[in-house]
Amino acid sequence: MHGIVKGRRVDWSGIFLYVFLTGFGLLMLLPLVYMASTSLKPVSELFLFPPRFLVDHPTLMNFRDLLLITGTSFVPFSRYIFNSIVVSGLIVAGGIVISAMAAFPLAKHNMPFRGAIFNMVVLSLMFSPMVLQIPQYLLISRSGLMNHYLALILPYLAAPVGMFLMTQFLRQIPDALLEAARIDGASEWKVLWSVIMPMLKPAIATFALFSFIQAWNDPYPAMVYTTKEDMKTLPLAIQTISGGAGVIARVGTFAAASFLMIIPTIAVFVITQRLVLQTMAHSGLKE
Amino acid sequence: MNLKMKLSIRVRHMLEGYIFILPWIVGFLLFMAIPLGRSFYYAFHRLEPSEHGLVATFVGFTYFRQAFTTDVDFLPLLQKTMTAMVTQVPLILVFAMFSALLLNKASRGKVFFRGVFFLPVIIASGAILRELLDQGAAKLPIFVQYDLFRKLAFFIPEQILEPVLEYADSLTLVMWDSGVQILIFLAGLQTISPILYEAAKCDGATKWEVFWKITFPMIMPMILVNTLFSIVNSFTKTDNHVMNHLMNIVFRNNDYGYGSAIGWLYFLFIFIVLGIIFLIFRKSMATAEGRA
Repeated sequence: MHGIVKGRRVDWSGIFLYVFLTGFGLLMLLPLVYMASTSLKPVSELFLFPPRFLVDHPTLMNFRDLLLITGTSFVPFSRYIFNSIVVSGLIVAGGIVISAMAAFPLAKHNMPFRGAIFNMVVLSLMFSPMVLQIPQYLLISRSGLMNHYLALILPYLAAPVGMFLMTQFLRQIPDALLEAARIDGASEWKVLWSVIMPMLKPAIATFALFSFIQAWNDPYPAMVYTTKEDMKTLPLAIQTISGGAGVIARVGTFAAASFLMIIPTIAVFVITQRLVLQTMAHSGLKE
Repeated sequence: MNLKMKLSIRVRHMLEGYIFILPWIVGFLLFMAIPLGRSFYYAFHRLEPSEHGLVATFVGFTYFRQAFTTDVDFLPLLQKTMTAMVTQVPLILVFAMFSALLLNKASRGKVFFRGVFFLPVIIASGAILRELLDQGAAKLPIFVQYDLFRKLAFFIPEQILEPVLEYADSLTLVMWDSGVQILIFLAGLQTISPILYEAAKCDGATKWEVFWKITFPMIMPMILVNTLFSIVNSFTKTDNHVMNHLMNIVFRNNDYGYGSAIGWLYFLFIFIVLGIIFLIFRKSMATAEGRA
């Protein structure tokens, strides 16, 4: 609609706008470009000083090495990918169902302690997770869940963020809709699945995006709750590839691994981004 | 079925509500409330492993005293995170607001730019970000490559130049940290009704006036949300020094009691900072509402 050039007069503010956006955008892209170019660098270029930003002779060696190194060790790389997908997938799916189930009565049912429960949620948003780390670890290790997928999933299911977002979002849905469904004979369970869930879609998308990024990237649970190599998730495995003394030669492999790791998160963002912005506008964050 | 009929509709409604919340509450109690209580208990006890599991002996405030008197790392690290927070949060807010304003104006390539600005949130995860920082990716390459420091040193005294350049160095970090804030601002900007802008235009307001009299007051709540979010984020980031210190205490030295004590001290500290922010904003929120 508004082109850069209106008639014959040059629209300076439009040009200014796009120059700035592109400039900042490039700065934002730097880490990704750096990672991509590092992952393509041959060994001869990896350790140049001063370090070069772009690659001169791109090669796919690092990706091949990644498969080779991890292929010769006793756990194949695909196992880490599988673990990560299972854990993050279940955290996101379970989190959505549990949070939606809890948000529904909190927003729409009139019952005692409703306010208290909601305040508890808001307060727990402020807790830094670190205070909880120690007892959570003791709890898991005592209950014998160590080295089990459940240990990586269960502690993250009851997410205060998801609950908060969904409750705020649900409050804007008119009661009349729910009444209509009830009069037509729908049970509460049916109301939740056929009326609430579809309307909650934007909030669900936002929560899915955040919790997926969180779960996918966090090496902490695997580091603490697992001791066996074949239960590790991707972020922890990548840390192991890069970490420790004497593995300097794997910088390129590391870059390749991290590069592969971002791809799913970008995919999730692209899928959810339209819905995400909708929720932010309506979630009542402004109150 | 029989039982169901006897209950009144109201009670049934309530019961159904509780059943729906139940899974969440169970998870919350098990993995948040109980651990929180336990860690509070541990903070006052010395924990020693024995054949009966961990044995706790009451030590009172010893650990809290230890944090302030014997631990040489805790206070300096706390101060370091505090300075990082004070310098970075305002920068993040200004940058996020500026970017959001620009993004809101853009009509072409909206989705693309939005994605680009959100990208760092996706990449900036613990493991990868830390590795990139180690490799010096956060430093703007211009300062090193073109020897800017020595060239500038001719004109500006070194004592001033050094902190300024350090500040500029952390700018990239600031930008990468502001993805979520940009999204929140953007959402806030989109809720402002265009009628207000039209009215201002009819009354002959300049763009500068429109920003300060309409846009700024209208997104005041978003500024509060963003400030809180940035502060909590800067305190709980994976590369936060106090967090690392705590991890070391707990998982290298296996000192659960002392770790819990420090965790609680840190939490209290964050809580006080957030409280101050709330107090500051309450005043400006009130004036903003009065104007609307």
